[in-house]
Amino acid sequence: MAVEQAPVVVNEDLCTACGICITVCPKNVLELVEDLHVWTGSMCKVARPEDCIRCKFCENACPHFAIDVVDMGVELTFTDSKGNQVTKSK
Amino acid sequence: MSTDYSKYLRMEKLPLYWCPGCGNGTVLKAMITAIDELGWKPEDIMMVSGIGCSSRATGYVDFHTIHTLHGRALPVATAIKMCHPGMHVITFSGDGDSTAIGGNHFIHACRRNIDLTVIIVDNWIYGMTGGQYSPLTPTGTKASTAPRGNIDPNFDIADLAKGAGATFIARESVAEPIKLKNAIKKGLQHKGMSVIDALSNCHIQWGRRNKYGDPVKLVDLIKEKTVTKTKAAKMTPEELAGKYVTGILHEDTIKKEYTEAYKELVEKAQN
Repeated sequence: MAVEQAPVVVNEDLCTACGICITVCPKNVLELVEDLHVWTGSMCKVARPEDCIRCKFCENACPHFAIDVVDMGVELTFTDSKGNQVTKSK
Repeated sequence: MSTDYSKYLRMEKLPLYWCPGCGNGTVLKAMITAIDELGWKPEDIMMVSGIGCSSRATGYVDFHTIHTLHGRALPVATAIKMCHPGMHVITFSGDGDSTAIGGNHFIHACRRNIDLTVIIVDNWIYGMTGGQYSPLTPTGTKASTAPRGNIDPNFDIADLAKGAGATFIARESVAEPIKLKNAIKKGLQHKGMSVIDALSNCHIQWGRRNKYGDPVKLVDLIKEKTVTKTKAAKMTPEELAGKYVTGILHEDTIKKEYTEAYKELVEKAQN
């Protein structure tokens, strides 16, 4: 069993919910979710990790160093939005 | 993993002090990625900044850093470069800091063609002090000291730097971070004064007064206002009015670099 690693990781300590990553994402992976436990009132969440094509648009556009995208070619195992275990080699 | 930012950042200082969505972080990230791709060690880099929102960047990066007086980043950087010619000196400053308050220092650093990389975060306003208009505030837009619209014509940083004698001039925007990173990378590699005009968004101080309070809307406006160099060559001057030409606008490899000229002078005097 491989170590679980998602293609996109949002560091919620650094995220300020500005919404830039959501508009640049071509596959609609990220989403702003209302979260009243943080000062911004909402938080960027990875809603559909299985759709990620690892183009790194969100990582490059994020002004607060909050998003990390794994390089292309690394094999990943993660839980998708429907709760299934997915393995992606590309 | 891709770029490991924690190698170049003082992680204990994060989260960044800038407003949500501020373009300063994108420019800083582009610079760090460019340095990572060049493989420079943090201990070989000196980063100097003046006063302003963007100048807070020196607090977050784990290089040798110095935070100087308002507009006086370039004299300090020139002195550091003269004492340590082997060091990579980068200055990071805002548009008001480098063209208004430090305008004289800027043109003279360009004239000497000393090997500095000057990244100007051009967000069209004095953000930190409360939204006063700067020499780069577009004509007709509002600021806290111009509530009925700014009547001042603007500087063109690229033309100013070219006229003053800088040998590498590029302009990119935060709407296209990869192109910005490539421009900064070329500027860092260039031997001589390199000026990178990074168009950035200030949706809090400039945007809120001009109906662009949302960072996404303002980044889209910046994207609309920029045209590439090749496209601009086919456009008429009327079409180009109010647009920002992006790309590498000027590159000169013939002009002598200042520290080399000084070294030659020292050798000549000693023999």
